[in-house]
Amino acid sequence: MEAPAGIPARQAPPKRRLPGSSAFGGRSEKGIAQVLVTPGQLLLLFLIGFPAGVAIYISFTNYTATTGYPWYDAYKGWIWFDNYWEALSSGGFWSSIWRTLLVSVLAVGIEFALGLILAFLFLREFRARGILMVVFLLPMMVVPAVTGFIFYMIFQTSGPLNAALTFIFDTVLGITGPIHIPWLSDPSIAIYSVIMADIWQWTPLMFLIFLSGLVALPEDQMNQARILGAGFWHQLRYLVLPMMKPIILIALIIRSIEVFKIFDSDWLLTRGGPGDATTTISVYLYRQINENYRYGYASAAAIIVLIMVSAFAIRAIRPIEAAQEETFEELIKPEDGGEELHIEDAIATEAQV
Amino acid sequence: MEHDETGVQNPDMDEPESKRVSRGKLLKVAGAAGAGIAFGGLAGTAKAWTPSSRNAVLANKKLAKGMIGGPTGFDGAERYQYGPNTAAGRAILGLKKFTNNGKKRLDLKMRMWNGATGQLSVPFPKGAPSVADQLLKEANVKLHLTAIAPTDQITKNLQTIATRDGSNQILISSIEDNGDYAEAGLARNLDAFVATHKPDWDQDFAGGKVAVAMQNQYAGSYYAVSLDGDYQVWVYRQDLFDNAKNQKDFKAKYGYDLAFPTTWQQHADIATFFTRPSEKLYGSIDLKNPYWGYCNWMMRYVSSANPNQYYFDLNAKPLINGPAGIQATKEHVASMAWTYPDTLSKGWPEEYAAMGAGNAAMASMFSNVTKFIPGNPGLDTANPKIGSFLRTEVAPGRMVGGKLIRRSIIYFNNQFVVNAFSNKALHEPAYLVLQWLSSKSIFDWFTGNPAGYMDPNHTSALNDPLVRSSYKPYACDKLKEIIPHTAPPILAIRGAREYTQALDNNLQKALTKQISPEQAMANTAAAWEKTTNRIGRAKQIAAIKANRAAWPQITG
Amino acid sequence: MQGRSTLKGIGRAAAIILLGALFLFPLYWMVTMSFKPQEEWNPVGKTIWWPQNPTLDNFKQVLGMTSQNTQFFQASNTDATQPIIHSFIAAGGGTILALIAGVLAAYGIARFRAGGRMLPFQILQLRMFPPVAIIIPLLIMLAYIHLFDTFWGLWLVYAAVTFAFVVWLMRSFFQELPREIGEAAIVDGCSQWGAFFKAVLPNVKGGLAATALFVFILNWSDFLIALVLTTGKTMTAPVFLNSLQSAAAGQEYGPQAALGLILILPPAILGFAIQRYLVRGLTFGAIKR
Repeated sequence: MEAPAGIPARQAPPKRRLPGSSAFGGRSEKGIAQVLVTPGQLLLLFLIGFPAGVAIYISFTNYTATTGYPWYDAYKGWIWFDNYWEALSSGGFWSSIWRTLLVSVLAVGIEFALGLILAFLFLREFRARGILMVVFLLPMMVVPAVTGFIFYMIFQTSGPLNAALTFIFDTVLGITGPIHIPWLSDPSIAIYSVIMADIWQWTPLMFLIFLSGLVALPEDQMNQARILGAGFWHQLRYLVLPMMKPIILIALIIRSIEVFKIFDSDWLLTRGGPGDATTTISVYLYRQINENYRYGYASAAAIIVLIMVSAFAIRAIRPIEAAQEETFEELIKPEDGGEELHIEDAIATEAQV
Repeated sequence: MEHDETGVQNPDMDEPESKRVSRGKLLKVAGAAGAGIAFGGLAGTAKAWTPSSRNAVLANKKLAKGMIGGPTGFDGAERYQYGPNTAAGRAILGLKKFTNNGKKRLDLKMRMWNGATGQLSVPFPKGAPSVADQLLKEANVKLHLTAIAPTDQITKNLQTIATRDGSNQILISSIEDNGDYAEAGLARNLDAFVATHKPDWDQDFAGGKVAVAMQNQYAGSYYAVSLDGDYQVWVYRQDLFDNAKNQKDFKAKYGYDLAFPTTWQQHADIATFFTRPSEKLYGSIDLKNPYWGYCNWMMRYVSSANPNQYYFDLNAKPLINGPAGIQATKEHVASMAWTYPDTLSKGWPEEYAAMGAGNAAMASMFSNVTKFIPGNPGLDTANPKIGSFLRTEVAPGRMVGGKLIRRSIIYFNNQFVVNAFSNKALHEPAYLVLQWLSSKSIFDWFTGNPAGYMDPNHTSALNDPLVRSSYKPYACDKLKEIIPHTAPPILAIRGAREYTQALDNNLQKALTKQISPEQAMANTAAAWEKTTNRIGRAKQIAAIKANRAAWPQITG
Repeated sequence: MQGRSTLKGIGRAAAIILLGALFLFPLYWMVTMSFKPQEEWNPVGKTIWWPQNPTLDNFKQVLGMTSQNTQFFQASNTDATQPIIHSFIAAGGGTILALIAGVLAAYGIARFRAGGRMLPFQILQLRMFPPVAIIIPLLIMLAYIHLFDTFWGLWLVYAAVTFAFVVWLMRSFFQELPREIGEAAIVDGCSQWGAFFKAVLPNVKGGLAATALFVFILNWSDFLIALVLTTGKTMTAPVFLNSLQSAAAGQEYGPQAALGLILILPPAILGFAIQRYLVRGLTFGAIKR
């Protein structure tokens, strides 16, 4: 409602609700904020907070699936920190942690390298680029459980991978005999099969991220460097990677977080076997629950894992936070039609060079 | 291992074969006409039985004199009919009390393995009703079958315990799990019902009271009803063993006559002799995979002493980390040389397929191997067919102090418990259904049905014509020999799964050469001690002492 | 120079083709497997690269359309129609719940700095927990309030698990929106809620749709939660696929491949619809293209 003409100025600021006043009558802005986050907080409280609390509770007991009394009576088997000592001194627990770290480092590392290579390959326009990009995006869309199944088929000793390798190395090149690598039944190889499946599934993500990063690099700086005679590797090391650092960090951190929890594809590929060979931490916890029925012990082991992960998370949050701050700063800048570089535009720009 | 389509041939019926039945389905599928009954509510459409025609046929047949129940409508039906003073009769009379003499219908839900439901839901033989239909007709009790995969059984039962879900009144268990389920409050104690209604287990179970104790009891009380006989039988190719050239070559190489081995040493020789990968022939393809293969280690282990090499001594201390356990593990690991590649990720469907395709000389399998393979176009796939040459035998053993100790193992086994979390009013009728199903009359009747894999465990069943024609007469007679030689796995003790799991995990590591046999046994023993201490040594000692009654004493 | 760049061009083409073939092969294998008849699944000693007798039987089995001759496929065996429907219901409901809670919270955080500076990061930290850690207490708790094996139970858990994505994604979209839009609406006399619904939300329609589809894909792909928290009545498709593979059922590659193919169609289609926002989604809004 506009101030009617004639009313003295001091009385006529545009009719504006006081900051924070709302249909709910006078609640402060803080109140609104609280109302907005309440449903989410309730959701998290009940679905994550409360179960976590229960998990902590039973981690101090010897509660198993077959104890015979309901969970709230678990105090009847109170054993203080026995479960924790057992987990911390358990070979199985620690080897699953190392194994998970191995998987995470190798998988993310190779995804990083492959994704970067792919991003460079796709940087410039060429025929069929659009279609080929589809090919490289598909694996990301596959349900992880189905990924596990697909690679289960492929990694069979009598399966297509060995057949293809035999064709290349035996039939064509003649350097070896028929190839029968036991991808899934040899304990020292199985873990790499799991890693390969993860690489297949998530390299596309790294590829997309790096592509968007490369495309957004300032064109003039790159050109200048080229004109000045900088070779490809030089450009890569001193220009590209440093400028993409925030993006790289975020990609690595997010991927690491997710791959640490790997379960679906691992379970369908090998069910944690042979023996323990592919038992990552999630598989370890699941097997404790499903095979040994030991809810109390599994909870204690899980809490140890949560503590370790949180310690990592606190360090890892910084770069993401920084990226967020950066973005926020950008937004604060006066509007100049902040462009979002779409790949199509970048390609057009590239093509003109 | 060839895959072939086409379905199961039922020797007693000349119905058209189903096409395109996968190998996995063969073991769950019947070749008979007529459909199953409702699964949790789905209306079953009977192909050959419309309600009116079914009632007409059933009404037309008469029961033999003095009989109050049992199937009619086919030759020999009188064998399965029963009078009031039988286990089946008492069960039906008991059930009628709950259905107001058949006037009010009672619905019960039974969870079972998907490969076995056919024996209750598919009519057999030709002219007969299905077992479930018979129950409905006699007592007006409708049995709804919930089918699950065997490897999901533990997960589902755990879910049921955690959620106190009472929707299924009858649940499937395994003999190894009876103890844990009893302690968890999942399995209802059946002593009172047994005392009132008097089943016929003691009289008819093959193996007598010992077998009843092994399969139906925990700590001296009844908790389960066994409807199966998963004794591991050793299967071998008579044609290969009778082959003149094989006999000549074997005698020349090893110095004794070729015959099914009585000792593990002979088994090693023969398996080596018959392992010819270039001919796609493997000497001994007994399972090694997780969750299923440990029974083969157990056979090698328990035969190491007279009368048995036990898992625990009477102080609940593990005995497996002694020389017997290490030797058994070494042999178990060595046996990997006589089986097909990737064996650790293959289970018994692949084993059956390989045997049927002629790729194996020996194997240990369930007794239904002679029911499923011979004459079955989906499994008996070698060219020329070898199904008719399959013979069974007691497991090999060892000479201990001049006596031959041969031991087979029974594990898994379709056991049924009454769900303690279900409506209390339904516990007794649920038990009565189980008593009825496990009675001589009904059990013998459905065991011969090729539509499922619940195998005979009653002596009468082994003599029954239908069962013998299904399982083959020679196999049934051999089972009479095998069953008394059968030892239990780790069961009737709290934490049985945990002990077995520790053993299984370490065996897997030994099989993949990650650790030595000695290490595997040491690790297992250490894990067992931890579990025993946690559960309570006194409790375990009591269970072990009680369990000694379930072990065979036979030599030779 | 010309020769060098042609060489580079050829080299690049070769690399792309090689990598492309590698990445395409697993999908190729699954697709061809889904059309293979049983004898071609895993024949001894040879590999069949292209189905010689292609058939639709696997799809028929999986979709419950068994032909006259293939009877007795017991309903809980290979008929996946119910699990697929359940997957749609579970994923859809979970998405709606997550959106409701998440969009509100995201707006609160973006516009009002709700919960303080650290709230978004605390929410992100929750994503680091392996779900296995709390799955059993969750099972027990849901059973206690009679939500085990129900859709409401699944919806609540899915919403809680994907909440972080919704918050971060929508936050990034809200942040791109000038503050003035909401303020102008208030100047015009709207309440805060009115401003939100009438002015702000319509302007993030695209982002909202993208978030919804993204979360749907996540829920659809879930395996572990459904594995533990469902059994007969609400079993979802990935869990069903797992049960097709259990040791006692044998390796039925054909139906499994057919089901796998059906399973990845919705995420594939939706994923391409929201291609532009994929990177943003998967990096919690940190990286915008």
